[in-house]
Amino acid sequence: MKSALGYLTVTKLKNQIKDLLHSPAKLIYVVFMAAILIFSVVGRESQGPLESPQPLYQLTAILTIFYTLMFLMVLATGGSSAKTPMFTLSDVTLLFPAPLHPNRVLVYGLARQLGLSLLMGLLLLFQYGWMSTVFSITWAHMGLIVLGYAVCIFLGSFCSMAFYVRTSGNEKATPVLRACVIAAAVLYLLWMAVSCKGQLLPLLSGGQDYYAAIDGCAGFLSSLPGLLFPVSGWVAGIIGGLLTADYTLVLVGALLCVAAIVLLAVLVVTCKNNYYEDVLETAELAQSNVTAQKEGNFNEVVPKNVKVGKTGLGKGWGASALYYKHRIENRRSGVFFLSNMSLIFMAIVLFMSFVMRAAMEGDATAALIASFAMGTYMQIFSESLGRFNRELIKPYIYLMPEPPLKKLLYCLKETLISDSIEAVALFVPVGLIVGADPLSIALCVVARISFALLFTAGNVLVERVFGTVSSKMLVLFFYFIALLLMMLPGVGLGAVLMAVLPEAVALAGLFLGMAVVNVAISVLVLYLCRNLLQYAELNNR
Amino acid sequence: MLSISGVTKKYRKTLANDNISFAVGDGQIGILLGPNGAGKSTIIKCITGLLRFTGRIEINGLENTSVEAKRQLGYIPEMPAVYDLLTVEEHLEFIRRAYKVDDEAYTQQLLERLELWDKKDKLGKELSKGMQQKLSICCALCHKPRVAIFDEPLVGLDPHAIKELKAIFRELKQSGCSVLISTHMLDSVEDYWDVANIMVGGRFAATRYNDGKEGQDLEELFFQITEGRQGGGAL
Repeated sequence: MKSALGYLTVTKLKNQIKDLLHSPAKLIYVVFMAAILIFSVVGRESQGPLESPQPLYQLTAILTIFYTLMFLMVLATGGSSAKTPMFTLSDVTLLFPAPLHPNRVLVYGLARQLGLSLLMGLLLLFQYGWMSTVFSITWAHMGLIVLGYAVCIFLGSFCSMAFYVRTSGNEKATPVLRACVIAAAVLYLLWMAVSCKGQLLPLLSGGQDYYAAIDGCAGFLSSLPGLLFPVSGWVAGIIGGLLTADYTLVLVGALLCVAAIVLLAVLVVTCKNNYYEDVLETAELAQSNVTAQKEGNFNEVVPKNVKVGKTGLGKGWGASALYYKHRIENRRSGVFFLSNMSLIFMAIVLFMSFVMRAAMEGDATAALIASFAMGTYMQIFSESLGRFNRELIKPYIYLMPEPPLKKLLYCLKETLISDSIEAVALFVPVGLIVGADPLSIALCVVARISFALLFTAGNVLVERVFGTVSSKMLVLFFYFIALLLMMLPGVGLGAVLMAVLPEAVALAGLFLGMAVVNVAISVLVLYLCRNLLQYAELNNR
Repeated sequence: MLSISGVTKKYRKTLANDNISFAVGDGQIGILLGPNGAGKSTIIKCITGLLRFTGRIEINGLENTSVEAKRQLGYIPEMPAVYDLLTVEEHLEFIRRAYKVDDEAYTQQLLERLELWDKKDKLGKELSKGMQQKLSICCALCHKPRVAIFDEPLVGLDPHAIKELKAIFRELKQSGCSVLISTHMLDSVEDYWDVANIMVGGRFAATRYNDGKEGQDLEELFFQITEGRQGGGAL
C-alpha cells in the first residue's frame, strides 16, 4: 500500500483534474488562456530572431529585482499566505495528530507549496512576448525564469517558517529580525550605489545620461557581488548564469541555495517549538476564506494590529454615512488615499518616465504619451473599488433606506477622490521629468482621472453582470474584456483627434478626446448598474 | 404588518421556496421552523430584499424593496455581520446616520442590556462570535423597526443575552412590532409565539396559531411533521 502522504497527493491531484473536466467554465477558461499563450508564442516565433537584442545580463538584473521583491514580500506577509497556505485545515486536523513523523509532513507541505508557487509562476509565461522581443530568449529560458520564481517563493515561505519557529514566544525577536532584513536590503542598495557611483553621481550634478546609470546598476545586479543578496540574489544568479552560460554564477548560487535549504531544515527540525502553531493560524484563516466564499462572502484582510485613533463618524446622513465610514476604515487599515499597490506602480511609472525621456531624445510630447500609456496599462491592474467590494458582503448596504444609485455613488466616493489625488501626484512629477508644458500636464491629469472613472465603472459593471460568477479567474477574464471594450471608443477618438488636429493642439485633442468619451461611458455604465445595490443576490460571490 | 403572498424562489433548478404565503400581524410573533435546507433562510432573505423572487412581500403595506419599507425593517442575519475596523459604538452611529435617526439614548440602552456598553470602544474584529451576534442585534434594532426579522438569533449567545433577547421579543410585541423568528431551538420560543409555520422542502407543511387551546407542543408537532411520527393530528 502507498504511503498516506503519497496517496493524499496523488488523489488530490486526480480529483482536481476531474473537477476541471467537470466544470465547463473553468475548462473553457483554461483552453482560452492556453490558446492565447500559444497564439502569442507562434506569433512571436514567426517574426524570426531580432537583429540587435538587449544583452542578457540586463534580464538577469531584472530577475534579481523581481525575485528579491517577491522574496521580501513573502517574508513580510509571514510566508504561507492565506491564499496559498502550506497546509490546509484538513491537513492540520488529519495529518498533524496522525502517527506520521513531523518532518515527513513538513516535506509534504513544502512540496505542496512549491507546486502552488510553480502554478502561480505559470502566469509569467504571458511575459514571454516582450521578453523574447527585447532579449531574444527561447522557451527553455522562459521555463528557467518560471522555475526560479517558484524556487524563490518556496524558499521565502521556508525562511518565514524557520524564522517563526525560532522566534515564537520571544516578543523581542520578531522586530529584531525584521530590522535585520530591512538593514540587509538597505545595505544592499548602498552597496549598489557605491559600486555604480561613477554612473550615478553625474545625474546628481545635472547629468542626463540615464541609460549609463541604468546600465551600471544592471551590471551590478547581474554580477557576483550584486547577486549575493540572500536567497533571491542566489536564485537569480543560478538562472542568470544559465542564461548567459556563466557557470561560476550557477555553481555559487546553487551551493548557497543548497546550504540555505539545509540550514533552514535544521533550524525547523531541531527546534523544540514545532511549526504547527504558525501553520494552524494560516490554515484557519484560509479555511474561513473558503467557507466565506461558499457562503457567498469573502473575508477582508485586516491588519493584525490596528491603531483605533479618533473614534466616531462625526459626519454623514443617509447614504453619505457610507463615505465617512470608509474614511475611518481606511485610516485604520493603514491606507491613506493611496494603496501600496498604487504606490509601487507610481514608483515604476516615475522611473520609466526617466527612461522614456532618455529614449525619446527630448521629445516631451512623445515621452509624456509613452509614460501615460504605460501608467494606464498599470492602472488596469491597480484600479480597485476600494471598500466598495467589501461593502457588498455585508447586508447593511442593501438594507439601508436610500436610493440604490445614491448608495452606489457614495460608496465609490473615496475611490474617486483617491484616484484624483493619485493622478496629480503621479503626472505632475512625470510631466516635469519629461519636460512637458503645464497645460499638457493638466490635461494628462484630467485624462488619467477619466480612465480611473472608466475602470471604476468597469469594475462596477463586472460586479453587476458577473457578480454571481464564483470563479475569480473567470471574473478577472470578463473584467479585462469589459475594460478593453470600454476603453476603445475614448482611445479611438483621442487617436483620431491627434492625427487630424494641428500639431500645437494635437496633444490636447488626444487627452481631451479620451477624457470626454471615458466620462460619458462611465456615467452611462454607472447609471445602468444603479440597481447593483437593490439585491445582494446580484453579488453572490 | 408583514405580508407574504405567493413567494417562489428558485436557485437555477432548485426550488427553495414554493408559493409561500403567510402574514405576521402588528404585535405578533411569528416563528419559522423546519429542518436544515427547508428554505427558512431563503424566505427571510427574500423578505429583507436580499434575494429576488416572484410573488409579493409587503411591510406595512409597502413593497419590501422600497426605501420606505426598508426604513421600517430590522434584520438580524444568521451569521453576525460586523465591520472589522469599526468600534462597537461606531457601528451604531453608522446605522443611526444611515437610517437618519437620532436616538443615542436608545442605542446605549440596547448596548447595556446586551452587556456591550463596556466594550463600546472595541473593534468589530476583536469581538467573539457571541459578542458580534449581540452587536448585530443592536444594529438591527437601534432604528426601532416596525418589522423585525431574526434568523437563528440565539445561536452563540450566553444565557444572560438569551434571557435579555427573549425580553426584547416581548417588548417588541407589546410595542406593536411584527416579529418573525427563524429558529431550531424550539424550547426557546415555546412560551411566546403567536403563529408557527413549519417548513419542509420549501413549502409550509403546517401552520398553527397559539390560541391557548391544548395540544400546542411545538416539539411534538415539529417531529410529527418532519419525521412523520404517528399520534399527531393533521393540521
